[in-house]
Amino acid sequence: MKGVIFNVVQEAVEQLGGADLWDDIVDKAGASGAYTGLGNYEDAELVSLVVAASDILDKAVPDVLVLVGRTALPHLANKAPELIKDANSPIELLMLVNDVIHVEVLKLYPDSDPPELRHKLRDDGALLLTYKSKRNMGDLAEGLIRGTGDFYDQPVELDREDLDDGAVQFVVKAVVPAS
Amino acid sequence: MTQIGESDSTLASSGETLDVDKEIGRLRRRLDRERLAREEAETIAERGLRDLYLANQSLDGRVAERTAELHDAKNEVERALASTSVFLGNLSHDLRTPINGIVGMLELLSESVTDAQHLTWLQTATESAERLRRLLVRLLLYVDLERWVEGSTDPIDIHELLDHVVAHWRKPLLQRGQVLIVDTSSIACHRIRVDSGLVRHFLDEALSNVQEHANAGSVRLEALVGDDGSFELSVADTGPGIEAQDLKTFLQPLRHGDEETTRRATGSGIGLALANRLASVMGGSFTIDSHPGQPTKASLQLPAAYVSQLTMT
Repeated sequence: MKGVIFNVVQEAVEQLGGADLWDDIVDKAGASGAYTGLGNYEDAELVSLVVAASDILDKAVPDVLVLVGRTALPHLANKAPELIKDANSPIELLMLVNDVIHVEVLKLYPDSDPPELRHKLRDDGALLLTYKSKRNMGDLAEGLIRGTGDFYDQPVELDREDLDDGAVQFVVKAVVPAS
Repeated sequence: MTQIGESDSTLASSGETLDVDKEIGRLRRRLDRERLAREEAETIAERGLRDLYLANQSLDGRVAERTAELHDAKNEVERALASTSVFLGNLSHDLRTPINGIVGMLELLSESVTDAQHLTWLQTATESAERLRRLLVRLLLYVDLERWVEGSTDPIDIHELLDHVVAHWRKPLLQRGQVLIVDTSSIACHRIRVDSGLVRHFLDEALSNVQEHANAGSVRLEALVGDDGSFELSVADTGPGIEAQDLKTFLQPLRHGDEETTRRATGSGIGLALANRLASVMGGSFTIDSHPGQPTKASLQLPAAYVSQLTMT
């Protein structure tokens, strides 16, 4: 997995529980804890960090992934403002992920392996997103999708269905503020 | 009490020391992680830069290779074009000699033949041979113009040049029911600095084109000198005009317009292309104003730099 994901996970954890929490997680996981955005690291290392966090925070692993993903999204978005400058809402941003953002990631890092995030805009304005990755990190994806709402300060409603082949289907709806 | 208090204080102090040590240890590990990450980033960046440098080097090599290939291909094409021109030139020369022989012999023959039927055949043979000879002359000129070195541009008397042209063309045109009218009324001078040979060739092509393709009627040859000193010669007929898409192909050598035109006319297809090349060699431009069913006007425009009015009348 790309080092940048480890970086934003660290930033998210530090935002949630301070730098000491990150230290504790790294120590408990027995991980190196040294991650550069230019590098690639084993997926298992992220898993070990998440398991350690789940232990320390006394939260289920999926919940940790959703929480970390959600907190990490704004950090991730701020790392590539030029890639998402055309998006002005969570749904617009999510529509760029597969066709623009991951395309650019592959140009810069041909050895990277971003997940597939196919999208389809429904007639009612909801976005149908299908996440598919050999990493099966649907929970992290859910957290990141929820984080787009925080990033634009436009709340989103999310339905999730785990499919048989390991893919996850999300339906993202913008929440219309009550007038 | 004092002892207990002292003991308490010692305990508290050692507890604080432990905390501080722990904090220092934590910060040290944090620092180590940051250093490791930085070193790894530097290694990756250096490797990336080296790869980029190597890729650039190989790209430079490939660009040089491709450029050399293109250069070779261009030279090859130029050589092929040059040898085609030389071949065409040689061929025209070689063909001209026997044709001159045929024309000469036919002339001699015409002096001794008296039978009316034979005379008609002889006339057809002479006309055909003459046509072939003229085609070769034009083909040769077309090839020569490709390597044209600017010829003499001594001032010539434009009226005299036009008189020669009229003397040559009036009768052949009349035979096709075409009446040549010359208008030089707007020329206020006699002498103009142009290459008389090339201008003469140009007018021959324009009038030959009229003779071969135009309807019976008037043919207007006009000479104009613009306010800016530019010079224009035009030949206008009374139709039948040319289709726009045919005009393009007429300017290419040895091409014809639509099939109907080809059937209707018997020209070689070199005339307008030759006129076009003549204009370009003289530093001017050649334009044809024509629409189907309308008169056609072919013009040669020479810029002021090329033409200077010398002696005013």
